[in-house]
Amino acid sequence: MRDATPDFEEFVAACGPKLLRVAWLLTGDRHQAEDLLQTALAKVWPKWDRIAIDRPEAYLRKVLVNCHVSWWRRRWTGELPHGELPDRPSVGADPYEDVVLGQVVAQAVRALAPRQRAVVVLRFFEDLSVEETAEVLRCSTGTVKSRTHHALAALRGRLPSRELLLDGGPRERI
Amino acid sequence: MSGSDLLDPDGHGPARDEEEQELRFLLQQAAPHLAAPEDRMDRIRARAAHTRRRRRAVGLGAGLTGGLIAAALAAAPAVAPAPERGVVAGPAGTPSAVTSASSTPSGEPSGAVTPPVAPPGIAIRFPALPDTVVEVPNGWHARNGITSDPREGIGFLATQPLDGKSSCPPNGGLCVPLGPLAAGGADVTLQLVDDQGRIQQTPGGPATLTEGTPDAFCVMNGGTRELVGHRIIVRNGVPALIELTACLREPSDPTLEQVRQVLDSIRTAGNDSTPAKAPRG
Repeated sequence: MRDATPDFEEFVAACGPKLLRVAWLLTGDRHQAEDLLQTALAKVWPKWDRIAIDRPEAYLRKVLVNCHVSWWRRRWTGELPHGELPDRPSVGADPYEDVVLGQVVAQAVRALAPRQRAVVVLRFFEDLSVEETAEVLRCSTGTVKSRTHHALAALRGRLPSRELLLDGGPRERI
Repeated sequence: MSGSDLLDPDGHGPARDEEEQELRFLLQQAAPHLAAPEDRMDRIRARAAHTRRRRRAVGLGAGLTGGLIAAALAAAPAVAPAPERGVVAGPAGTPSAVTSASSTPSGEPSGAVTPPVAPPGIAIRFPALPDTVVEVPNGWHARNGITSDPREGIGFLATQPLDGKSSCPPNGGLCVPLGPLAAGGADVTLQLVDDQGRIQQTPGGPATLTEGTPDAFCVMNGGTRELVGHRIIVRNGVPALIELTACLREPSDPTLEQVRQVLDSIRTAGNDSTPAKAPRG
């Protein structure tokens, strides 16, 4: 078996944390997120020499999202990652609030259909344009807009507002 | 915020912009910064290798279907008693530890389990598999199976010492050795399969190892690959199936070759060998 090139390992070290966050938003579960990321990386690795030349992160993001969609299609229940991953370090003043926020957002995003979820993550977490999102998901820009619209409508009322998070303001919801 | 001004998917009014900004903020805040497992790269390598092997096996399988059918029709060398190669270390001839895997009168595992037993490089018979001879590769270790069912025919081989710890299901059944598998290591389980349907489906002739999906115990012990193979032996005058399941952790080619050798070496014990003691484990 070929050893991983240093470039690939460097890439995983550099982009892994961000892609793992994307995977978490797609799956809503840290174990499944790590599993999804590893699945995508394992698919990319054999082709790394070709992929590394041109925007490897974009390519991997595409693989990651499409792996997730295909898992959903197959009602995937295969390999499960094991072992405990350490909890993330708290960045907020109140670690409890961080956890609660994560749970609320994960629950709301997970309630979306997988393709809507992918659109939300790509557009609003990865900050991709409509065109870029359409390319990743291999669909039309109209489809992306439509899914965005429906996803936002579905999320409305399920997520806390920024005001509430920042200064304990009124309990408005987006 | 009201959502009434957001009905047009293409519309990008101030309210929509604000909503999108809010969602961006929430997603950034909520997505946790998870730590990567230390062996992430190892797992990626193992997955990539597994996928490659599976694809290769599928390709080969399609091409070899005809060959396998022919092999199935050929005489099965494993069925006929073969001349013993080397010393048959049956229960009478094996170190006492082979047969010392004990259980309580109720059949429950006693916890006093067998230490590594087989001298390397010899043919042995597990007490629980008295009709079967298997050759233990040099440097490998063997241990009798411990089950709550004395009829369960099982034995273990591994590239590393099989320590005394076992995990037994609470409701009885097969106990499997516990402990992390060393890198490059293999843990082989031989089990008698009492299923006439499967026996009939198993072709005679050269046995093949196929890729399986590592089960929970294998993964828990650090295994990254699973290989499964079958051999037909004669037990009490009728064909019986021995299933070999190998849990491997990033195995080297020599280790894979040894697993193949173990599978190939499984055969019916000769008539001249000393009868095995009744399995107690």
